Amino acid sequence: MNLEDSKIGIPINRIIAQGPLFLYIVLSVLIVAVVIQVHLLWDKVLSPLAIRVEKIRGYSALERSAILHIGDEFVPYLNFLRDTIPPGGRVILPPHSTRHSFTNFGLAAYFLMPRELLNCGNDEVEACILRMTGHNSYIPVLSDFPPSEIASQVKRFVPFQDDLGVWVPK
Amino acid sequence: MVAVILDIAVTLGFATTGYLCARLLLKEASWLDILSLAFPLGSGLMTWFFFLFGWIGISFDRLQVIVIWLGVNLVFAVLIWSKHNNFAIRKPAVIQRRPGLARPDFVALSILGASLIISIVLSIGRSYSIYDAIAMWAPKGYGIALERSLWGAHWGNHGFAYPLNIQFIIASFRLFSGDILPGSKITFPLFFFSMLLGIYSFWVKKRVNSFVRAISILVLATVPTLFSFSMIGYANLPMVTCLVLAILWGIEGMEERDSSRQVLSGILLGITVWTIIEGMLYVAVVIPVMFIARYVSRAGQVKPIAWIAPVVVIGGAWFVFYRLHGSAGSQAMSAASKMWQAFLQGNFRLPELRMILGYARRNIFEISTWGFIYPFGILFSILGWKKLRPGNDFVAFALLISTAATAVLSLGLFYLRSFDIPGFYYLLQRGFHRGFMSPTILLFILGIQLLTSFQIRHEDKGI
Repeated sequence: MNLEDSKIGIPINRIIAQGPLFLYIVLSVLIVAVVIQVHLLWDKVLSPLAIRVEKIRGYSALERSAILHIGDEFVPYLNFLRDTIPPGGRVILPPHSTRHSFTNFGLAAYFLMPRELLNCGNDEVEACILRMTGHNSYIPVLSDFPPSEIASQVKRFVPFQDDLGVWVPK
Repeated sequence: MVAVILDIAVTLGFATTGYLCARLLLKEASWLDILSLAFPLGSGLMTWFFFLFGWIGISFDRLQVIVIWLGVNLVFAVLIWSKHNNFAIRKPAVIQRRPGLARPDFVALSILGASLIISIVLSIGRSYSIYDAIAMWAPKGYGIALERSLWGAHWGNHGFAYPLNIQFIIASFRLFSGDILPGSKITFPLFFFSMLLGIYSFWVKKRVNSFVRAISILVLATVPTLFSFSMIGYANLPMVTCLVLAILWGIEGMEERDSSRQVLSGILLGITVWTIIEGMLYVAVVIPVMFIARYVSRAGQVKPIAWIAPVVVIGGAWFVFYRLHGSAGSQAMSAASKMWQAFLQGNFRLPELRMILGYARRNIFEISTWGFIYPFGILFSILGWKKLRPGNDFVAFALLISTAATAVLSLGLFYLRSFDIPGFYYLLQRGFHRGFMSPTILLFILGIQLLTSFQIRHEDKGI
């Protein structure tokens, strides 16, 4: 049974028998598809990305990541954290939540490597902070973490700007 | 500038291994085949050796890496010399009989080359800036380089639950150049364009009309989702690249009764497993499907040991490691366990299943997502439906059931995750396209393969 027999109504075999005509139809359709796809690709993907990449091309790879993933306002604070916390330091992060992407262990690791990272547990923020009495642990301010009245018992605050900063060993 | 040179050296280092492996296995291959295989094959094999040596305690230092690289390539070189007596590779007979690539091929390949450059520039320009790339692939790679050890992969999310191909590639760039550009992001465009060249070469060997194949490869190259994934730093497209190349070489190997090409296919399937955890499931589906295609079509010949042994060796080594160190952090195992518990209680989540199918039906025809791949793939398949019957055309039939099997598996994986992920519809919106690349690409290859039946009468003058 061929397509004609199946009563779909398309005399495919006759079209195919034309040979070049069928080829030209296929080629035309494919070319139109490429043109539309190139337009879509440029419009939705390449052009917006190229504009963004052009704007940030003077930044380091890490800063470009931060700008595109978290926002350009985060970059100065990220650089402050990297400057203030020594590479061998231990960074104490808030419990994981969706409120700040930096509470994500893997994501924070990318930005703060080679510093060791620890997340405080959900139910033990106070105890977690009070444990950080060592000379090598640092607590960056992220949203309302850490509560300053608790952090001040074990750490000294180094301000950045607004309420941001990092709690460093006393 | 030094970093750029070192990044190029790392890339060429991987590609050299790929070339030598391809040369060892293939009696004949076109330069398209070689270009297509060099990076995916070489990087997959080298990172697997880095992993094995790391597992037995050898550190991931520059000197050790260079020694391992030299050792592996030296073994390949000796094997090539003893088997073939020279390092140059012969063109396939199908190309030797004809005058060579035609003008449309050169135009298409030039456009692909320009697209590759655009993709590399934007990929590096955007750095690692999408969630999985930042939270998992890059920190794990940097962790391995930082700790000079396989165990540095504990950095980033999910512990050792994922295979380490991409992470070791990133680690290699970090180790040698510091990855300050980051040069490791060249990896992702290279995988995409390797796949495109592999598909193109397949069409050349299948004698698809040069105008049709030239424009068709541009259709595939300009699919918005695929091009996006060549720049964002996710492992999905590298996995799909290895899987698609493995299927194409497997089909060719069976059709030509050539065990070497089946070994090559097996190695690529092993690298698929070694690239991303879902790769194991795709391979577990593709292998039986290809056996079925062969036995139903009664065409060609399958050499099970040649084909499956590399998968077992490459994938198996990682799987043992995964069982020992990785399964605790695995999302897949957690979802599978929850699904099993739900099944035991008679909860089959049928509304979610309906949601997945409905979403798929709408998504595949979104031009801004998949371009015209599905309309063309389906239309060409309808036009060439006669060749799809088993026994008529082994290649078409094998592609058809590979497409169907990978589509069912992709949908099945979303169904699996519906047992584990709260806000499942959000997951579909966010991740459907990333999980549905394999069947999409295979369907389009099938469609173009079916078109060949209509072009026999006016074959063009050259390929």
